[in-house]
Amino acid sequence: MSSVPAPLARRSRRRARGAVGTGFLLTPGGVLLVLFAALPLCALLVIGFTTDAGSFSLQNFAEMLGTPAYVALLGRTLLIAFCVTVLSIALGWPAAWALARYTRAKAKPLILGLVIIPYITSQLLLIYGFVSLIQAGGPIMSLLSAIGLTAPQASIMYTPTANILMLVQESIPTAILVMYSASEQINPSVLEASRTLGAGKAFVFTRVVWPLSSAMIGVNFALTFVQTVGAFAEPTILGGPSGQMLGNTISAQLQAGVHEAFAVAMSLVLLLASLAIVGAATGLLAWSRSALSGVSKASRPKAESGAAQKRLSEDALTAEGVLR
Amino acid sequence: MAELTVSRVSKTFNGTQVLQPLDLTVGDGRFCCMLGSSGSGKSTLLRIIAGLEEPDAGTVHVGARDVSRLSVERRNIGFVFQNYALFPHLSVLSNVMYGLRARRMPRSAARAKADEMLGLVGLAHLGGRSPAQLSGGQQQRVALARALVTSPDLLLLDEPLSALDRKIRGEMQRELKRIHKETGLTTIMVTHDQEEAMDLGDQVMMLDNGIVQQNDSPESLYRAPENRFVAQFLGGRALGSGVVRGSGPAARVDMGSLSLTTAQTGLVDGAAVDVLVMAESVRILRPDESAGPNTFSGSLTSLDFFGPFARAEIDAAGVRVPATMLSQDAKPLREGSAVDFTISPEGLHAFAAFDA
Amino acid sequence: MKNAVLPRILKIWLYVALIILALPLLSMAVLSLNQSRYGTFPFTFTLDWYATLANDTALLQALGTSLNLATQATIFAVIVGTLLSLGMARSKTYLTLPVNGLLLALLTVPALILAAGFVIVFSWLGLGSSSIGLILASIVTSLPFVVLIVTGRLRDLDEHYAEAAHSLGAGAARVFLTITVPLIAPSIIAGGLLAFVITFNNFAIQLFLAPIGISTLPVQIYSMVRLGVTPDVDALATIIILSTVVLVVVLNWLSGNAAKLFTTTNKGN
Repeated sequence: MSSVPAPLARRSRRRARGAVGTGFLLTPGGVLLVLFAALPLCALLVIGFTTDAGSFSLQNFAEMLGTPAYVALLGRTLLIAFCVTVLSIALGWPAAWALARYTRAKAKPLILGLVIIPYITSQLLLIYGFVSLIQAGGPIMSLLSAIGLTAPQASIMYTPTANILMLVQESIPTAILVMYSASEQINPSVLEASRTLGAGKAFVFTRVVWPLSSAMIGVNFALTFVQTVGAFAEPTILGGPSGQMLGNTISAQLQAGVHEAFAVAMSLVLLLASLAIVGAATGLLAWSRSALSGVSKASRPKAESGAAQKRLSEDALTAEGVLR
Repeated sequence: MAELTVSRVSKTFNGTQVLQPLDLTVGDGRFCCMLGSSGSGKSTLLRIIAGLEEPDAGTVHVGARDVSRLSVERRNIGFVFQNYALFPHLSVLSNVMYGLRARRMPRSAARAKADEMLGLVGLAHLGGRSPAQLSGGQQQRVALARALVTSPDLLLLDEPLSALDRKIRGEMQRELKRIHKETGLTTIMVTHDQEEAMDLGDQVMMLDNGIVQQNDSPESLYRAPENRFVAQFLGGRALGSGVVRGSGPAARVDMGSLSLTTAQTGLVDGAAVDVLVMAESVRILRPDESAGPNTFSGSLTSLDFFGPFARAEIDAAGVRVPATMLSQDAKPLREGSAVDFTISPEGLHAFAAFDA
Repeated sequence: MKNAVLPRILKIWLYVALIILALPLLSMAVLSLNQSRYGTFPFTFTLDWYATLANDTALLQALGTSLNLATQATIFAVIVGTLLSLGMARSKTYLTLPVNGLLLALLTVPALILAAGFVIVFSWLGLGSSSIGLILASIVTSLPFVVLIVTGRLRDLDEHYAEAAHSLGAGAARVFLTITVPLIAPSIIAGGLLAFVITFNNFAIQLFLAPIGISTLPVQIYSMVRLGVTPDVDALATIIILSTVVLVVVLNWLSGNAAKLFTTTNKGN
């Protein structure tokens, strides 16, 4: 019978035509990504692990980790990023909760708009505006000296505090937007249900709100930490001598164009250290989730946790993508 | 207008055989309903006929033309989707014009024809609206108009009524009948609702697990289900297992102390069978009625009223027999009371007991 | 009511947060209308700084450079990103996995470190410190945003639309032009606007990759802030912020809800 091979031939022909079309669609983006995303990241690895003469070595890393000043700077950078991340989430989450739960539906777009505007405003303009606020003789310092709290020409400019406040200011919109989605995702009837079961506020928070939000807290942590750890404009402008971060050193060396490999090695160490901290934080959050909700990973049905994981990773990708 | 012939079509998705090799013929101008539960393969078969899905093997002919190699857009079919799939960015009129414009008909001619078709489905005044502004029933009509306006050879409907609420569904059912009659189009509809299928189809094909269970007129399907699945899907309730006594027209089925007469043919003497009964063929006798053939006694174990109808269950020598009746006839009955009932032989079906 | 205390506190918290977020922006708007050269008070109204801005060639040139860069990069990012999204939606192979991985890497690696990678690769390719390098880096860093938004829309798009169009006799090209493109157009525009904003603001990339002697606006402001500024920067900032407000309103109008683009929403499954 000739009817059997015919459909097979048809199928492969159609499939081949589809593959050519898909290839055409994927090629420009694929080439761009390989040349200017994969290649730069590989280049960092290559440069970081070679000497100026071009042979493989760990010399750059040894030099950095053997210099106490750099190690201290790395520690301070990670500590600052950690504090900024935790502070911004702590400040943003209650606001996000109020926005998700206690705001009229009609007012939500307006308020979200007010969060989005600083969120997409140039970082440099935000810094500049912040400087104008806190500089000596500026509105905040004038106000503080008028109350008699500070000397007339005092300012927190050029201090680590100014640097941290600036970074928190920049991170709050992210926190509000991410935690707003997290809060919106919690079905209000779940909260009501736990109240009808006689749960107090603290109990509802630790057993319902926290477990349901912790995944998004992890996303928020990752986003803000990774962005903050590489900051260099803020500490340069606001931080003063004792408020410097590793990003300053890296950017200065890169700009000067000397000892490039060393700057790259520092970047890699910074990247690795922050990924480790983000990993630890996410793990801790996951642990707290299972500890508080009483559901161990092993006892959860496979399909469900798989689906949840998939959704979580999709959420994370979306969040990573649109929030910066 | 054309006859549809599907031969030896089969389909596998990710290692699961969704359709076993099957054949289907729908005569010119006939209305065929493909009936089955979700996952039975009925939608896949419809999509293969449309060309939206490629079969692993087999052919599809429309009239004498082999369309197996043609892509959807070349098959000249009308397809109505379950959710209608009206283009949200186009007006109702532009939706209906779409197929005509795709066939390169000049704009003014296409507009006139689309207007006419909208008139046929009773929506002439809504051409300027956007689909989102229409009710479910109106969207359904637009989807029909859009599928019909290109004068297709086949009209394919994928669960077209399932998204509508009950009241409108009946109305649309009549509308579909009218349109089928007026256009004389060979029509194939997928549905999981047996009443819909029985009402609309000249021919009903029942599918389960990718296998054709029975392909017949609605009357024969109901009167003579070929297997347990068909009988059960059409409302048959299992009574239990029994044994065939005798053969030919005189054959009876014994269940414990009950000896049942059935219209079923082809029973083998001594065979073990599963017995199913259509609840509507069981009738509780009034006290003054005399006992005819197939009459038994039992006690009423439950009685529930559903508006105009009532459902009862009778325990007859340990066999639980369902019965439906008009509510007014059920009024004198009480749970626990003794009743006589008769089962019409046409409503009793017996199938070999291996496929439990 | 004792119950209503917590909501009230949280609402006040939200409003305070909004005020804190708005303060630097409002400060610049106020200072742009204040006569003092050093941003000090008492407040005296003037529009002089807007006039000064009109003559500040360095600042205006930087603005022009930034607008130019953002426009060029956006056009390419939108075209390439949309094609990539369409390809990924059609591709059922594992090809999408490395593509997604690279997009995610672009989003998670700090801009400073990414910039270091670009500097190295561009010097290898002989594009060091050229405007082509800057544009390429801008396209690549804004690409993920276009892809995410367009892909999200494509994923939500009912595939029955395309099937219905095919069943009505439309070929692949016709379906693409009359169904797919109009249905994803809002997300393409939204992705483009976002790409524009991202490119415009991408300070780290611009600082390291801008050709010698050319400053983008963020780079220009960076050098000015360190050397001392005049309130015409405030005037420019105010204009930019007002444009941002317009942009958010447009995004809102395009997507029905701008916030959707910036927040992860539960897709209901």
